[in-house]
Amino acid sequence: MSGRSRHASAILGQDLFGRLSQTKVLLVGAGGIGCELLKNIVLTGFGDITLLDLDTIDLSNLNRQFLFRKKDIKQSKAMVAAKTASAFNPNVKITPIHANIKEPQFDVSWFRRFHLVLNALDNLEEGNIYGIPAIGRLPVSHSGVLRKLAHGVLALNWPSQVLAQVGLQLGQEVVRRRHTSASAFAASFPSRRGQEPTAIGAPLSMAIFTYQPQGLGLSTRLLVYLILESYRIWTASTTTVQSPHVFEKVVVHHAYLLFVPMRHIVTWAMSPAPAPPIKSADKLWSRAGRSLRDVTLLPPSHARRHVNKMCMAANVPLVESGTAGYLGQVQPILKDRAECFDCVPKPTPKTFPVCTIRSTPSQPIHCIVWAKSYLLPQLFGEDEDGGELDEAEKQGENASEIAALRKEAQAFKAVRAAVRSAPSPTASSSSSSSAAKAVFTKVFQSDILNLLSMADMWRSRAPPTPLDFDQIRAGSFASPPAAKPQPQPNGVHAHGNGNVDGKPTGSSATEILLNGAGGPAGATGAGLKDQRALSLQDNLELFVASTERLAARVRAGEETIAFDKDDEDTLDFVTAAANLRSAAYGIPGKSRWEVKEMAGNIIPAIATTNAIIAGLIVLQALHLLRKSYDALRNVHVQFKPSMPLSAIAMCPPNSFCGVCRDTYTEVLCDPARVTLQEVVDGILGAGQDAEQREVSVYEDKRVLSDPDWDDNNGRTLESLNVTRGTFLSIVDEEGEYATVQVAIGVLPPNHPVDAPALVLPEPLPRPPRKERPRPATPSPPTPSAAKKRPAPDDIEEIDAPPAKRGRMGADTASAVPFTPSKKRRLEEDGLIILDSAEEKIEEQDPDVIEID
Amino acid sequence: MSTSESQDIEEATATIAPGQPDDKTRRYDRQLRIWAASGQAALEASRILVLSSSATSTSILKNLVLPGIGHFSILDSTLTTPADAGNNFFLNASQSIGKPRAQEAVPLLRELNESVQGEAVIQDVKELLSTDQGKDWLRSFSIIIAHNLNNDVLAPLSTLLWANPNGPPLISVRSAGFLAEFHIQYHEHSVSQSHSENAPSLRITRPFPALLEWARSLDLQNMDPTDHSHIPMVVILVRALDEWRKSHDGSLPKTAAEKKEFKNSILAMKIKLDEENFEEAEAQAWRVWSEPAVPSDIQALFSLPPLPTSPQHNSTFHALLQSLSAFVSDPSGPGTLPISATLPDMKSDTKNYVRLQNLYRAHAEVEKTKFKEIFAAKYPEIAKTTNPDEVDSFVKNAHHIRVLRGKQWGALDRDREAIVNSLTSQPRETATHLALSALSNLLSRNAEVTIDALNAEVLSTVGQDVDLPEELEAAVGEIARAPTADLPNTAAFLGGLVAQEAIKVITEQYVPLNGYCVVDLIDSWTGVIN
Repeated sequence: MSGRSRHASAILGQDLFGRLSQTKVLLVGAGGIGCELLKNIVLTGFGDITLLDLDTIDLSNLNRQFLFRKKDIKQSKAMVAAKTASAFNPNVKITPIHANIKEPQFDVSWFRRFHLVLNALDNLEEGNIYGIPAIGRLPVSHSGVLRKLAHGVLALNWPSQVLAQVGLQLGQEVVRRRHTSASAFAASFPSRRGQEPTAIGAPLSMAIFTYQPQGLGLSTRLLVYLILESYRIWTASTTTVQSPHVFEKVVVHHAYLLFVPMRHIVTWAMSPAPAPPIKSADKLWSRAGRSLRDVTLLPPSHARRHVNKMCMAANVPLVESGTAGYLGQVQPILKDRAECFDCVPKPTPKTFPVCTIRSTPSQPIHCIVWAKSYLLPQLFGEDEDGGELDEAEKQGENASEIAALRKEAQAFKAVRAAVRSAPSPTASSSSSSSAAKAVFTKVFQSDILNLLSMADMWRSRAPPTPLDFDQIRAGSFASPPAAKPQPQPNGVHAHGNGNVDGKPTGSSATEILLNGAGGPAGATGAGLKDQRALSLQDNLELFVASTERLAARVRAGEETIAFDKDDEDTLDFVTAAANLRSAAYGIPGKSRWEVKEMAGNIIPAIATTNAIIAGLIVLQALHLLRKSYDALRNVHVQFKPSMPLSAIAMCPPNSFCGVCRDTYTEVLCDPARVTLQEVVDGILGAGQDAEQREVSVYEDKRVLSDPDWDDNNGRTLESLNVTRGTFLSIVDEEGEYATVQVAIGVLPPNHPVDAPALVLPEPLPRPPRKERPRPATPSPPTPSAAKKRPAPDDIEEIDAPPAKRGRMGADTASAVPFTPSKKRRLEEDGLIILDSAEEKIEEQDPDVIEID
Repeated sequence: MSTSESQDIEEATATIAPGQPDDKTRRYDRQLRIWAASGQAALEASRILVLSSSATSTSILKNLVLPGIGHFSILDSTLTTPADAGNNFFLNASQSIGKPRAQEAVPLLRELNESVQGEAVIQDVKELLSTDQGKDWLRSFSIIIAHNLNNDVLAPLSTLLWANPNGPPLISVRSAGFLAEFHIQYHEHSVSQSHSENAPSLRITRPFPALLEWARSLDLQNMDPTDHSHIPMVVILVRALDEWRKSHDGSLPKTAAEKKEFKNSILAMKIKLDEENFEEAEAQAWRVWSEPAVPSDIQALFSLPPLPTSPQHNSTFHALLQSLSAFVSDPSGPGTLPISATLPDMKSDTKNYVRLQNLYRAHAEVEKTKFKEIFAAKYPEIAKTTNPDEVDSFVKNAHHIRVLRGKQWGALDRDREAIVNSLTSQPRETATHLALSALSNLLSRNAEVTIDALNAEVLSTVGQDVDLPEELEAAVGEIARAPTADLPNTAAFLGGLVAQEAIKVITEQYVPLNGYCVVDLIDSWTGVIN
């Protein structure tokens, strides 16, 4: 013992080194950083390690995840890593768990068992980057910018929990009125119609924040209405921005319109330099862009935020880390002493407007997202029952649009069936090939012809060209100009090789396609064969071949197939489909190599950066264990040859952080026997305090109750789906006290059967009074109900025509957490939900512009 | 060699999932996206020698074997101690005790990547340095990495390698507890792919004919409003500047007032309030006032004094560099670096953007051909044997080429003036470096490592009359505490950092550091002194 640990004990000191063997550490992730880290903590002398990872080993891991060998491929990362590392030191206890850290059994009590948590998660939850983002919590601290920007805040669709935050930070009244319709709401604002902006003086400004996952799904009616009233309006959403020129004619009405995504506002507000007067959206963009680039290498994945929250709740020190290529970052996190993961807003993943994806792509990435997130799920994803459309119809949405979507869904049903039908034994290949042809003809010919029939859409942009299956195969198809592939020196493509020897050829044919039939493509010997540009015929054959392979898998019993960058069949399919669509729209194509990177959101990863980061993690961990908090550093590995590391002293927590500034507590209970009211009253100490606080209660983003709505109070937690591992958030209605987060745990095994099914914490949590921001100088907009504004019908006609809206299908539905009841609740709460989340303001929509 | 090895790799990895193409690409996917096929080929052709098989050495090697170097040798004659077994992951724990360290480590390192060859050489470097055969062997590697080699051996080794400009670079690493440093010794290192983030010049002040023609042909007043709002900012700037020059005797906007006037002239072209392309052009107007024909750092390379004996491996690079200089001064050329075919993103529609891209691409091709003609005329022999890809890559990255001139290891310590200056300008880094040098000197003499002995050693380097910064006290204290501790985390960290630099040197991509990189992991900082 003394021999093998001589170095470590000499340098760490006997005291700390002695404690390490007793220290329980949770290591989340056994990937690039995780392997390195596991080795380091085993060697440093940590004695009790729990290693958790959800993933299995893939060939592309082996260039850096050195605890794995080729023979381990497809096995659990946690299990193999634990086994390899245990062999090195039999004195270390490593407990591997092959599971998702977000599972309910890993509750607050479980986290509390550890002295330290080390986060070595993969950099991103891949697949969530392009497409529909999940709604996160409102990032903090945009108070400054709101103060600068607006005299009032109108928040649409924000959960009132979040609104409370906004309001408090502003020191202003958030506009929250109880109205049942947009027009009534708008009517409560003073009219400014007919006044020149100069006459208004300092214009009353209004920041509108919409809380909708689909970019700027702001209500057309309300927005245009307010613009007419000459408000200065900034609209922001959590995600994307629509081009301001939608409203080019509106601008003539002297409304100052600025589209800024929420994340940019937040970043802007956080930047230390004083904000200059806003001249144009462009300026703000470039400012925000600049500061965004430096923000973080720790993307806000669900797992990261989850672990952060659990560590805040359990009050366990955490070291967070991430890498991207040559860059890396380590951040120690300790509740109440240092910033938590959510204290600093993170850039949100890039998303695209639905219409761009569905109807009017202009870049290769639009086509890739379409192939990956729309076409592939349509063909091989879960079968849709059309319930979404039924629901939309019930809610009175545009009937002709719904009919169009129904028709489209029906057409997809037919091709879905075609790819699933068993090929007859005699004509095996031609049958599935004809299925692939049916798909091709539908999406690349009929659908495009259908789009072309809407002449309006192509007035100011180049129309797409429908593709012809047989002509392309015969080589007689005239492709649109931009889609012509670069001339290839050895572009020997295997045109017509899809059916070698009359049997389904699958990937061998693909290999020929991708690599060229004439042997290895490159002279480098490094085998970068899939970097070849593909011709239109190549793409067609690849589309047929990959569709056949996927169809065969579905027929063989696979229920659904989702995109996975390491699943060659899906990658081939997405490559081919995206390139064919690009060809139709005159967009340059991409090689399979590039598509993999774009669709799979691949972040380069190398052994060296992981090694550097893992070394730094342990050093920060030792500081945490030693409680030498002054030595903690937020460390970045950077690009500069003159300064490979930059270390920044820790910042105190952001006092407006929506995660670490909350007060955490835990109840142990049987969710089947305890009601919501019992828990909330118990935590608030009802009956003991002189005054009863008014509160709203949430689980994640779901509203469970508020002062005016107590329907759920008598229901059991279980019936509300509030079970082990979840949190009840008790939000003070007046915003005076910090939010109490109540973790739901299970009763101890020895709990008497006849004892109460609820064990409250002792003592009860006492949330601190919240910081009051300084009062804002401008006054909030004065409501004036006296002036009656035009009836809703007046503005109804400006809605975008139905044919141009799109639906994202199942993805959208799952990404929008608003259940109908929630929607109702929010509306009754004074939050106006004007339209469905999917509703978009169409770019360059002539109808929107004609308001007069 | 590379052919047979690459086949080995194919065969070795082809069995996992039959029928799926390109297993090697899949294995190296995440790193190929950083250094591409050319970098990978350079790695696979490399032969690396590592002196010692300490925890730090094996950590460095691990990070070189994983990405797929060609071959490594470990030169180490020591036997495994219990302390080695406890802190070196690439030993068979206690089973290795008493056996030669190198021999124990090599199989475990090779396990990481079957396509990498490796050997253990159980010999003392001192013996090799004493024979011509040994010296030749040492010089035969692509790069040599030494960890905690005492100065009495490191000095002759560095001298041997420095004496021949074609000798391999030497990375010497020293660590003690939480402190460490490493130095990269090379005469000259050229980088044609620096992966710089700075955008190359768009040459707006010197537009090529097709671009100027487009800009002049626009009928801004009468064109379709949609088209008007999609004119790329490059074209707007070229047009605005063309008009400016007509009214200003061909000169560029110089004074602040003129610059403002120029910007206003761009905004005046708008036909609608919110034309973002014109706003973008206004924001990018700086391109017009700061567009030197050749960036100053590249210009400096043209007049770089030649080394006494130029390293052979750089001869092609220098021929290309001189051809570049000739291209710039050629009267029939543009008088600038060859134009880059890559455009930044800008506000436009697909049609106009692609048109612009094609114009730049076509003109870049013209200038590249011109460059190749100059190269072939100036250096016919070299041009014949040079891989066309290398020339393409050089021209493509012409705005970002770098040439680094290095120093011999230990040169800083021998230059009393330089070290004293460095103590003033970077006290923390220099003090730590001096403390580590002092440690190595003491260990060379088998002297006891105490605070006093370390301080005395430092004073003998810098001179007795020099005021030592307080940072020295901390560094000396830390070293005296555990002078030989090879801590696993320091080893892991150094393993990453040193291998990263080695990869930059081998691939000739990205800019490696120049001088001593000093590391203090107590306070988590690094710094470079030269």
